[in-house]
Amino acid sequence: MNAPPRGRDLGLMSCHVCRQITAWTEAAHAVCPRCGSALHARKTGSITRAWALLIAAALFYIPANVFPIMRTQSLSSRDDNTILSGIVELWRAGSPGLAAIVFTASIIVPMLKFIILGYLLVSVQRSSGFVSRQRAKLYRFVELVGYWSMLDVFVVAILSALVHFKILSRVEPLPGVVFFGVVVVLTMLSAMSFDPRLIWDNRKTSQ
Amino acid sequence: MIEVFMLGTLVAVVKAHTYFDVVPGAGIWAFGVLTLLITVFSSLDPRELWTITAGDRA
Repeated sequence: MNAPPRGRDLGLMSCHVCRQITAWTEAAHAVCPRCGSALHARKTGSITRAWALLIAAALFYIPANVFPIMRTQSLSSRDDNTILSGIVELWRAGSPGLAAIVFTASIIVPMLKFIILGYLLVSVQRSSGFVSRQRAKLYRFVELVGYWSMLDVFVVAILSALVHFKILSRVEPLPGVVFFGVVVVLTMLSAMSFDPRLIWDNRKTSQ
Repeated sequence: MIEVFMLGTLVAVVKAHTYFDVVPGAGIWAFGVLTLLITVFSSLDPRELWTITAGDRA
């Protein structure tokens, strides 16, 4: 066991907001002596909350992909696009590069978040000491890429605001985009409720 | 989040381009600079403020 000591072992903890180091306390209403925000030794109900939000997000992910997110209406035609068919259309319209970016942001990133957060939660619940350092990195990665999924929501919002020419042509948002926005917000909240410090707690084996 | 919005605008412009012509105006440059500034701003570490103001307790 030659892992570096945790704050708990040294009787120290830090403030979430200003990172002031204080003495370790498990008191429910402790506040930071410097900035006055609430102190938590570990985020409260971290695993339960992260699981609940993640499962909710996964459920919403189904209607987000099945229902169309955007309707493009012009004199001659009416197009309902789902996330995937929108990407295909963008690819065909001559910008494969942008289509790849949208595909990454809307399909790959949410999938990665489900898989990574699920894995992190399961491994923490099993007090696994397996590749702890890599798991800590995975967590930071999820936090870093999380909000990029909002890309498609922005596209629909901008287009619906921009393209409004009465009967000539019109873009309208459809329910799918709401579900998708909810998925992104829920996965971000789930990542926020997960406490990465749990990775280093109760490890059965060292390293 | 602003960089995602910027990219979203780009995708929206490309999508709209299939239906009609989209010409960038002068504002796009201002928005580009704004994006850059906000990104730089938000990468500042607020903890630094506690160090700078360590002496003056209210």
